[in-house]
Amino acid sequence: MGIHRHVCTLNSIVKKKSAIPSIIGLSVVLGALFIAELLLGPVKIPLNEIVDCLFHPNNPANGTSLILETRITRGFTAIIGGTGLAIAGWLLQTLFRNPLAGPDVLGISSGASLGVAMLVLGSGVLSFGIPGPFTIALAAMLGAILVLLLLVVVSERLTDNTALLIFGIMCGFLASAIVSGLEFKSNSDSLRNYILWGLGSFADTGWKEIVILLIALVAALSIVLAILPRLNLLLLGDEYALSMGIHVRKTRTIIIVITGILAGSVTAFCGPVAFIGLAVPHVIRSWKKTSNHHRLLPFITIGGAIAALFCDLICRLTQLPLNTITCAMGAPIVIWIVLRGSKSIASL
Amino acid sequence: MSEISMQLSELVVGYHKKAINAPFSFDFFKGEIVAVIGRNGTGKSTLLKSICGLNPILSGNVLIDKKNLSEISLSARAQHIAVVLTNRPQLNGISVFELIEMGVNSSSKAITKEEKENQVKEIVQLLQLESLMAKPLSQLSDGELQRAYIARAIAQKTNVIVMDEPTAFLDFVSKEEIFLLLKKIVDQKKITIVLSSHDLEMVAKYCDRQIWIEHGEFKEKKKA
Repeated sequence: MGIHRHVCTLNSIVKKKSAIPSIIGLSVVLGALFIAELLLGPVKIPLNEIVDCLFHPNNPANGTSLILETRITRGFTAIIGGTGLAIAGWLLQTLFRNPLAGPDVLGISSGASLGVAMLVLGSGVLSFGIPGPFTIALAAMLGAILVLLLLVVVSERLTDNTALLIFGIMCGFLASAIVSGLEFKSNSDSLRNYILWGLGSFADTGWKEIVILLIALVAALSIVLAILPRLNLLLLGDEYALSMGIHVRKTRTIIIVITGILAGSVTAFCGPVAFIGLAVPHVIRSWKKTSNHHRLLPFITIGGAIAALFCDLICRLTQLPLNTITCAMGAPIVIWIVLRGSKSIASL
Repeated sequence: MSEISMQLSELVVGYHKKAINAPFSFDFFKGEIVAVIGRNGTGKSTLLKSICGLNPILSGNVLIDKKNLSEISLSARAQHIAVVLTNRPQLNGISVFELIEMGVNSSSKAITKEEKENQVKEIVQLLQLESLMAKPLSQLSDGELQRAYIARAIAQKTNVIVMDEPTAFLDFVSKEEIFLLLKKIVDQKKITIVLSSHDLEMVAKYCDRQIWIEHGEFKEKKKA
């Protein structure tokens, strides 16, 4: 009787609860938020007009098509950007086995900020004129890639993840030091441009940028799928991972590159968007009560998109900067998870 | 005499390229527990980690199933030798079942889901972990956690398991339970367990042979 009960218990554990209903539920929420993104804003567009615009986009009578297109591109940017940031934060939290890690911790976002500061603020100091948005994105990408290359080289030499984390944080401080020097020396127009970029926005992208972001996301997700089994083993520590056949250094380099691609591309086109990379993995881990990467991947992917889309919607309705909303929403949620006693913050 | 599972041949280990021992050779047999005994800092962990490839070997060879461990890939090595370390991460988001599953995944790449589940079930029954399967590692006692990590190592289906102080931080009853369990594993699975320990009484009672580390020399001490 006892043995039979135990085997039944084991079978019930082996047959895990299906994740499909939750994934469908989240997808519905995402769809609803996307429709709200199209409908709501300073100019309210009725649903029938949206449908008309979608089916007859070139009809000159559709005065709203231009507004609609900007909302569609903004929505897609938020979905792709949010997903990218959430995955980047999640991977870094696994790599460092530290729940405080996020895309900005490794200095990648700081590198992007430095690239933009040197271009925008430097143009003010040297009187070059104000650079265009694509040039700004290029500068951010170059800054991120520079820090990324530095991290890859350093990660080959440093065996300890904590040392690498400290290196990333110090890179961030160095970048901030240069940026603050440039801020002090630059003129008010350049300073304003830089501050506006730093507030983050999903609104300044067109289809070209979305295609680039999408390619970066698909490439990164494909690599994540390939290394998914290794990620769980990394949670046990480098020695256990090594003993189970994982090339720890190679995997670490792969994670840094994926994070660089994701955080670098999103920061390039949307500015340094705060908190999504840190908060979304916490919320999802706390909700699903697991750190198993196989089970978390679909939820982190959709969760990042929902968080970004929701913050962007609030940002449009309140006319406040994106980072004001992401921080104002993200910080209380993380504090709430800590206060209700979930251990997901303290350990992975 | 039973079959040899692992051979150390003129092995010299150390750290930062500094040797800690004279060349040492030793044959391990299937179905035995070998204890490595020595004071703190004499190199027990260094020896064990070098055997399983976590520390570089300075000279000599480790051969398992006639394969030189330093000449095979990491994933192939994971199919020959498993390890249980002193640190046992008490992860909040990983259950005992998922921990054992990790070991099964490392054992072979070509394995069906059903085979994987059957392997986990077999190990769970051997270690009597049924009631703990759904529990996160953070909710286990030290003794339960150690049993879970031993189960993970067995799931790798290797001929040799290396354990660095498997009874560290455990009370007397749990220590005895772990040694009894290890004896049951080697008897049933006919594998070799190499462990380090400070508990001389338990070692004398349950281990078949002992390697003593003194003044930079590794020597076998026969059971009285």
